[in-house]
Amino acid sequence: MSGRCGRFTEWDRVSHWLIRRAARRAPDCLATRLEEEWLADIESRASAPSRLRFAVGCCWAIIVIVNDQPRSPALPTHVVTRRLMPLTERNFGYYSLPSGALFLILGLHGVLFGGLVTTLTHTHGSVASAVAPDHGLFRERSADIDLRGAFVPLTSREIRSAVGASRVPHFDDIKSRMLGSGSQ
Amino acid sequence: MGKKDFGIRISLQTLKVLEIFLENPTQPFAGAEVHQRCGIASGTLYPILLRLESAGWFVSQWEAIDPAVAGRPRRRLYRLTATGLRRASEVFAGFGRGVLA
Repeated sequence: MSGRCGRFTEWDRVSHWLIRRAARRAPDCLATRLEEEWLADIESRASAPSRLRFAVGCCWAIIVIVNDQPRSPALPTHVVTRRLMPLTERNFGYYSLPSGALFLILGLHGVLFGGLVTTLTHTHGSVASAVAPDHGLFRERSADIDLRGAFVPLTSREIRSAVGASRVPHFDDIKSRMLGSGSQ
Repeated sequence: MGKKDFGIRISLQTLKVLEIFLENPTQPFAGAEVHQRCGIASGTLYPILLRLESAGWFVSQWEAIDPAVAGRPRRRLYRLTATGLRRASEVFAGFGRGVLA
């Protein structure tokens, strides 16, 4: 690579490191061959980003190759024995694919739940503001807005003081009128 | 697509690879050449090549060059076997009839 490109870039170092790392994960009978094959084929790529994409692809390829092992009929015996290793005996690291997928799913659920709660809170607050009647019978709850809405009803005393005591009969007056009409 | 045929999962990418080899069944190709011809990414291409080799459709061998003289490392060359040629032809013929065997 250094002869063809004139210089060995950091990207190429990363690409070669990725290929060697991927090849080491291959079955024993394929590791050396794949490393040499991929390091030879990467030379045909013109640019460093292209070589890096090739190396990343090799990392993906080795996952597929390892997963293909149970279906490969022409593999040597020790590879077949290795492929029959139960899933539970595999050494899945902390940053392995299943763990990453699990964290990703949990993270997405958390984001969705947080977004749902935030949206509901804001939506309920705006709806309550929109439907709140504008006749002064509600006072704004600016300090403690919650899911029950941004407004709370006034007490009867507050209503009487707001619209005038003459227009709003007191509860005792209503009660006496009802009792009076009932007695008649 | 995606149907197993002779133990091989015949995907669109597999058909593209087979098509390249069927154009000239006697000529060996390296993985890099197959990529240049069909544009399949390395993450898909090499599992297909290994799958076809494991099934006996391909054989592979190292390129017979001296890396010091050629100025580049030797490549792994893949070539269709007689079995691979026959079965690949049957797969394409099956697609031609509209029926995948």
